[in-house]
Amino acid sequence: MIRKLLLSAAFGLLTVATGAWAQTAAQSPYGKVERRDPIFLRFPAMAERFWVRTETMAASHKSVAVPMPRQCAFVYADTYTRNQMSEREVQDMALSSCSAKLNQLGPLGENYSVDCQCKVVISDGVYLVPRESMPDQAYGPASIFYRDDRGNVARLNGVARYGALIGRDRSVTFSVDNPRGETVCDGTFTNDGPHTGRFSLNCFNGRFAGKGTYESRVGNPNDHIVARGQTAHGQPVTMVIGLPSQLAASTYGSL
Amino acid sequence: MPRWLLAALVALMPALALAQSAGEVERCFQNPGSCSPSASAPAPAPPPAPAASAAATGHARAPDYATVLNSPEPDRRKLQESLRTLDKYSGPIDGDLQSDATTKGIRDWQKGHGLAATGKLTPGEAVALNNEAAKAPIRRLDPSAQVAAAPAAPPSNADALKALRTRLAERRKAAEPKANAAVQSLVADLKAYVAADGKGPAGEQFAAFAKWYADTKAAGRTVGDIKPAVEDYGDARAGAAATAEVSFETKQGDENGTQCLVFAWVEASPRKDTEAFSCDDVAAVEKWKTERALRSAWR
Repeated sequence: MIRKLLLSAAFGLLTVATGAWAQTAAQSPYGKVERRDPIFLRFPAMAERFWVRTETMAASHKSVAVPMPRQCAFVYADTYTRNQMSEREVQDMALSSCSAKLNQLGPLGENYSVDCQCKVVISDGVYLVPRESMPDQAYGPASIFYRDDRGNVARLNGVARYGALIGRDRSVTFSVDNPRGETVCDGTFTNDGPHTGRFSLNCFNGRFAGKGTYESRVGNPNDHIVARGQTAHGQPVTMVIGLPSQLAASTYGSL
Repeated sequence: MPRWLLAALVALMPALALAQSAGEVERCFQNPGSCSPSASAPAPAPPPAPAASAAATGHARAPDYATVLNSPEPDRRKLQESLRTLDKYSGPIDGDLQSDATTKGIRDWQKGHGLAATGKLTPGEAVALNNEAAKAPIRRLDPSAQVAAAPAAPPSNADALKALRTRLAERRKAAEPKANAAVQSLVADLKAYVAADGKGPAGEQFAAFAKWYADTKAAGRTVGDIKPAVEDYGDARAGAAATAEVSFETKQGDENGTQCLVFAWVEASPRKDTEAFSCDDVAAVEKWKTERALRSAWR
């Protein structure tokens, strides 16, 4: 009974929080969105719908929700309507889609020390949050799996960030922070094709390093990058960016 | 040497050859401060002298090569990894100790230790090889970085990133004069084309631009100021390549507008591989660069 009451209270709080984010575009003091803003470079399929495809570009209302704060923004939801829904309804739909995606991917606690919560960030072409709070780089949960020469597997979970779009620039540097926010690894992705290339990884001041190839995979369950390589001793290393730790481990953790 | 002792040695090889344990890597990830270069991993056991080991296995009867050749695949792969660590082998880690590349690597290692260069390993030699590889420091894989980092302590991650950004900035600065000259030359041609009301090399080279100009003119709009910005610049397969984002101010009566096109070309006289895109068509611009293997000096 008490549990049910607590759940109801939590749901009520969530509803209130959800409502608090609903805001009309006309009220926004944060300015208009632009085609080349980082959020659209980060999610090109969304940019295509928001700016290019006629049926969505010309919607009467359009909203984008992403998990915030900025380092959590590795999924998104964009919704559009042609006069069937109000601006508020479109915002609510974006918010619930984003939250559903986040829940579907699984818990983020092993990657993040912050609480990632979906927020409506764009509505009808304007920002509903301060521009400076928006992601200015690409971020995502990262997991590194390493098997040593005795067969033991290390699972390292944190957050990756990179300064440009992989596959768009020839060479992209990235870094990986542990859940305490300390930068522990860096490296580069060098693309050979639109979705493939080579990577190098260097952690703990060169004490642990690896290199190999990567592939960026689009779609279900979420866009992600999987990089597979070896250390200098030939031990296998796999790095996954874009999937929470448990999903990354169940998909790629067996090395 | 009794067979049980040989078997024990082979079984212990992976443990003796510990490179960096998964536990240590996890500890370093959670607490990087405890993994400074001085806070090293537990030192592996000192290797037995290869010559002595060889002698121990060899003087009583013919050397035993079968034990290592018939050892489990993970152990054979480990030996290839050890050879690779010691820069004696660069082939695949497939467990094939009888491949040409592997036997050559073994021979090189044996020569370096004053052993008979047979290209095959006795159990004692195998242990010594793995132990020597385990003592080798974990290195950056980039050979140039290895050379640079060798004399001093390796830089911190933050320093390495800063250095990389500095290098990128320097590379861009070096490319700036050529990139700007290439783009200014394009703009001169575009302005000449507009001034000549649709005639000149810019229209011949960039069909999409010529079409856009014709459409603009047909719609009763005039083209005013032309503002360029270098979008990318670098070496491509066919020579220096540039992409420029150019905005065109257009006017129709009191109504002003701006149109944006990205021009892409390989530097030559006349320009080669020319194409023009809408500024929104980021994917097409990037595809053009990828197809020409453009190595950016700009980003």
